[in-house]
Amino acid sequence: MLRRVDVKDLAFGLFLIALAVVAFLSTRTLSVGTAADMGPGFVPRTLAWIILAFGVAICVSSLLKAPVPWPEVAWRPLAAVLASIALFAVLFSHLGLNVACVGAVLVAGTATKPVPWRQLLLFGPVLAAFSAVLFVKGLGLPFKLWPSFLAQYWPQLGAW
Amino acid sequence: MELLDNLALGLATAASWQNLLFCLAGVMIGTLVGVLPGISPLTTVAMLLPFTFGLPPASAMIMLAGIFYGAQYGSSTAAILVNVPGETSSIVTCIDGYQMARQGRAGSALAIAAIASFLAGTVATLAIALMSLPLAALALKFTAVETVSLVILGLLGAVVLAHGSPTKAIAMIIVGVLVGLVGVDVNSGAPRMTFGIPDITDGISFVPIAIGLFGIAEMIRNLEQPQDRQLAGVRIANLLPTRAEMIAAFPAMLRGTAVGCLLGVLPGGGAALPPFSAYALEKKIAADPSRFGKGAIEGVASPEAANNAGAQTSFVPMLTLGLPTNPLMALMIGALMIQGIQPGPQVMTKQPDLFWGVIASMWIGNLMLVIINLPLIGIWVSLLRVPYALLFPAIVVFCGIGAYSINSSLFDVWLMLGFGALGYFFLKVGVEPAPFVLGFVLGPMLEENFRRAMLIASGDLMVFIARPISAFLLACSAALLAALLFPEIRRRREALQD
Repeated sequence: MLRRVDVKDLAFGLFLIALAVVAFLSTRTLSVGTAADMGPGFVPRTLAWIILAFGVAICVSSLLKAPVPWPEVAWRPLAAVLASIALFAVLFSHLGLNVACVGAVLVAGTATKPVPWRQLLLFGPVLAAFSAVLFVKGLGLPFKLWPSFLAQYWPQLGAW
Repeated sequence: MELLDNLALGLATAASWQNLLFCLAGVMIGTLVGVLPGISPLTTVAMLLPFTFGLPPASAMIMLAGIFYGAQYGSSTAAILVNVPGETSSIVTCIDGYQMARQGRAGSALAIAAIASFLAGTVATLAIALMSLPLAALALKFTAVETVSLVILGLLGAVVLAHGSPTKAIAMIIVGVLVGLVGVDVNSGAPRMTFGIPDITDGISFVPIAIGLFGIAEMIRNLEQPQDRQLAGVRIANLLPTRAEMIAAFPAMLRGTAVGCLLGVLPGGGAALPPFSAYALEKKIAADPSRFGKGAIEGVASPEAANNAGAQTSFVPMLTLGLPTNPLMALMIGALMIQGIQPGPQVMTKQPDLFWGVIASMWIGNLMLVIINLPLIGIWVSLLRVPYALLFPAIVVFCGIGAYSINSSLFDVWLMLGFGALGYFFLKVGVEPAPFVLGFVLGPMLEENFRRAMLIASGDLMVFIARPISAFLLACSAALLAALLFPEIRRRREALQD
């Protein structure tokens, strides 16, 4: 049945409707007030109504338009890039900038096929060193560079 | 001569040794990134924005502006040498520039592009200085009513620059305004749509959104197709154009500059429109239009001039009215606000050194581009060969560091991830993120002024038509809307963008 609709428009329309619903739910306790004396909920709820209207209109028209198939999604780069950012966030806060750089480069590198493992393994530490010099030494940003447990056993690390 | 005084003040600010250094750094980083495959100027500015927060406002803006036009210059270099435009504005330069390179005239094409940019930059600097004073004087008379109408006009202008359906672009603007309202309401102190997350009680930060929607989403799309870059068998033998080439190119540069200056100021103008229009104009008035597409020098000179002039004059509405005409100007507004400066007409009166310094630095930056880049062309050519497979993991890391360092908040990195995924969704369903970003930036200003206007007019919407300036601005908006929905104009707009 989905073959007969403009799937792109339908997806965007459903996104708008979902967003409007979220906006309604999250503003339901806010007072709306009157046009002359608006409460905090007035403008957001008005906008949510307009977005809902756009969503419904785009959904309806997608059923009437010439069919457009679902576009091909490049799952591999999508997953690799997003996972690499997530890994960067986790490693950065727990193990410091250097580990995060190496980890993020390795995961991001799996986006292309064949994965250039050798270059990535070489490039990760280079990028980590470059970022440490540029951002921490150069721009003076207070980032943790090394995992804390390493610094415990090897205090010289703290010096650079 | 107030104008000369102002320019002198600007030159004095821009020519201080730190600011010259920041301008140079900006121009060099910009060119570097513009030449590298798959990173747009917008991503560059968004990624580097957090690192300028420590600078004084004028230096930060000078550096960001330098990155912007440096990146444009770099992407023209890429367009001429490898036929891959770094961004939409250099698509036109590909047409004749690449042909010239294939004929062994790469040096001439690059030199003409540089000279055209410099000439356009000089004229545009003067044009900005002339236009800004009256515009800001007018804007200072604006009340909440006029501000609302102006923002509406500016936002509708953003629709013109979006590809595809105007309906979807308008929907995206409204979504942007709504998301821009997240956070504590200034008037009542009530948190709105924050879901109890402390990181967004002061609003969602803009930089992670911009990096996610543009940088991350663009990266994933670039990875979809293998990035093949073929250098046009280039040996850049002679960097000086011949006399005949200069004579042919000079009038085209002037025409391009005029087109760029005019279109750059319009809402929705900025990057894409001026070079396309300038190219179309050259083709129309040429004695022999069939030369175009086969290496006509005018086809490089005029769009390059228009591109640079438009890029510079698009600063006018941003600096004088606080109204961004494209996503990049929205980023600049974001940068100003993080520096604690409320963009608008008062910037010019309260911080003349910032205002005129940025304008004067554009001229200096363009001069630097001509002097530095032509000798460095060998370095840029070697950068063209950097493989994307190694480049993008580095961009991921820099984006992560950039997003984190705005507020030293890990939440912002997750936000960037979320908006990256959302940006890819928007790409796939064929809607542009630019209108969303403009709506997001202008949302709070729109709501605040709308509420104030309604309070003064006791809830009567007619006040927007009753006041003449507001009525005029709304009439322009209505005309713009009608034009977009009118099929003939819509078709021509789509033809231009193809």
